Amino acid sequence: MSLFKHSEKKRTIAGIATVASLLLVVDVAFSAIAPARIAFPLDERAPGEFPDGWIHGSKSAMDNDDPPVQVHAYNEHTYILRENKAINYEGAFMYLFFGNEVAMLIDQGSTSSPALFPLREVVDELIDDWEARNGQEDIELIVANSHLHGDHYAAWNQFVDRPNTVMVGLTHEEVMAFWGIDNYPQQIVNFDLGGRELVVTGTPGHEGSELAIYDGWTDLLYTGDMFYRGRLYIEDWEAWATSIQKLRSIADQNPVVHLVNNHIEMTAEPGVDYPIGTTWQPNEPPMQMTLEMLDQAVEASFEIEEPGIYTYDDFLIYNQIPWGYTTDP
Amino acid sequence: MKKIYLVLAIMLVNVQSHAQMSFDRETAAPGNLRFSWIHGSQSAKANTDVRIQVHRYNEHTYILRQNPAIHWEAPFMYLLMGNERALLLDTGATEEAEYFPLREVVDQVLTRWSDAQGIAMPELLVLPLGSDQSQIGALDQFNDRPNTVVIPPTETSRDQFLGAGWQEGGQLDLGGRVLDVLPTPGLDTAAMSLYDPWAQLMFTGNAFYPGRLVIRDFKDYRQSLRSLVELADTKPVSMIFGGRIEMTNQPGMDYRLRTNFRPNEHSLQLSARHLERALQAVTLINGTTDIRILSDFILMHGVGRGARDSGFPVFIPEQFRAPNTR
Repeated sequence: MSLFKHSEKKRTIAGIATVASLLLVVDVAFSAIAPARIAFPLDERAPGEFPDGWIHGSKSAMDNDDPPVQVHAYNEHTYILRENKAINYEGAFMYLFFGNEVAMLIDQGSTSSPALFPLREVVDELIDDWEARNGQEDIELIVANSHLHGDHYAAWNQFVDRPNTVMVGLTHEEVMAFWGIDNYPQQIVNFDLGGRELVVTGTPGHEGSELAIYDGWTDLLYTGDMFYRGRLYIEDWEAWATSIQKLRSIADQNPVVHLVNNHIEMTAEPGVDYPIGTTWQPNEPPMQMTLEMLDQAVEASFEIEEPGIYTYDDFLIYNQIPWGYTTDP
Repeated sequence: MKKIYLVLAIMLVNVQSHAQMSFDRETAAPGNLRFSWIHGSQSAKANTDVRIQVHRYNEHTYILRQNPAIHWEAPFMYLLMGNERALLLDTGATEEAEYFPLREVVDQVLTRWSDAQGIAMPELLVLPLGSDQSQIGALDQFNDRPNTVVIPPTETSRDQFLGAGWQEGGQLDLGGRVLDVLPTPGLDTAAMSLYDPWAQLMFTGNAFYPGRLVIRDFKDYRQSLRSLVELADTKPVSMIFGGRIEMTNQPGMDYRLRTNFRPNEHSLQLSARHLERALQAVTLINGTTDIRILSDFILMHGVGRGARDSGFPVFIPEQFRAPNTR
């Protein structure tokens, strides 16, 4: 049913046509100066690179002279950040994805104080540089989280007074409302980050509000804290098993190139981890993981039935083990 | 001739100023503990404390602490002086002088001390009270130090220095300040403890301290505690100084391993009644697999150092389960 009377509709259409033709002129005039909208095509994989090694703390933490936040450009629109282990042993990774007119920061590290851990300053600088390079101004920043654990949202507070910023929130309800998920964790949603298409779905097990994100442009699958090279602390085994199997099916339906995540806790030696609290990891494996490792985890999800510690080459499954428990002899 | 008398007189005065320090007194030599230990910082990278905190407990007794921002074990070291010798108990957790300049700090303390006493630099004995990494870290820094005897925690070197049979009533004479020496194995086969009758202090290293006491040899440890309790029964003990602090100031609550920021630590010093409590708890453990949480320390037997008796969800892995394990 039309909301317009006939005469009004005619006038409105004429008006729209006038405005449209004017806009076209303006658009043509500007296109000479303003760069075209960045395209994030899904059919060809955007290349990217990982560093040879990440900053990994130092023997004496007070003598550490690495930056508080390591910034690595995976490619021109994708940044991976790592918190210095001499500030907090978690050495958490954070991600900054850019789309047209918008950037998304996933996770905010383990330290709140901007004096100790100046995350906002680093992100602001990255956004300024990106804007200058891409001819976009005042782009929006979305501050989001992989899951709601304190080692991943500690510096969330640094962004609350930032202009032009969307704070997704730190409750299950706020997070799901933002992503448009009303049937957690089953639902799989597409999220448009300024022309860059993300696939988002619930992956609980480690924590009850965790999300995994597949970026169709780079073919990176981000698995947060539920799958990484380290101790996979699993609170709800059934949920985790379902989640890891869902990640496998996402990887079946999409050409995933790397699995990226939040921590490195393994050493380069298969099956051997750096114990919790370690602030110096000179012998780390890469952060990114392979589909073969995912297969192994899926296999484990079918085999394991009891709580306990299960050792695999590239990760350890801590099924319902108390968080403070360590295997120190 | 007059000149000679004058010279002799001056020499006499000098000799008098070099009079032997007396370590003989009725009551304990008093000491000062009205201060706080450095305890790391939220960001170890931003830590601005000294690398080694030096505390003058009394004129001839110093306590040193390694900064937790260098090594999370943050062990304590003790420097005791007598008329002839100075004794360094334990050497911290870190080898590199660049990060942990223990020798330099000990030299500074001894220089100031000997200047103040108006005597020459004393001989230095370096004696780790156990073989743990947090006790022998900087041992090698003293290898080429002049006028120094390094006594590594091996049977041979201890027998050589303290005399064979030191386990049965050994003594260590620093010159007027004579310390009792006794073996206290159980957590560490090489563990030994000292008693200083002058300050009435007991130095127990990593054999007894406010932390997780992980028993490796049950009978040995029970015997060690008995020896310490017996010593405390027969001789006055004002304080017991151990090698580390792992407890918080909340009763029964410990810091997780590798915590390098400890703003609410338990006090370093324990007392003889703590020894009695430990012996009671160990008697109750009676060789079983157990974790016993007391207000000021945690006794663990048959489990690893990182084992917990609780957590979320409550779980102890199969290999650590036994009837008495909570």
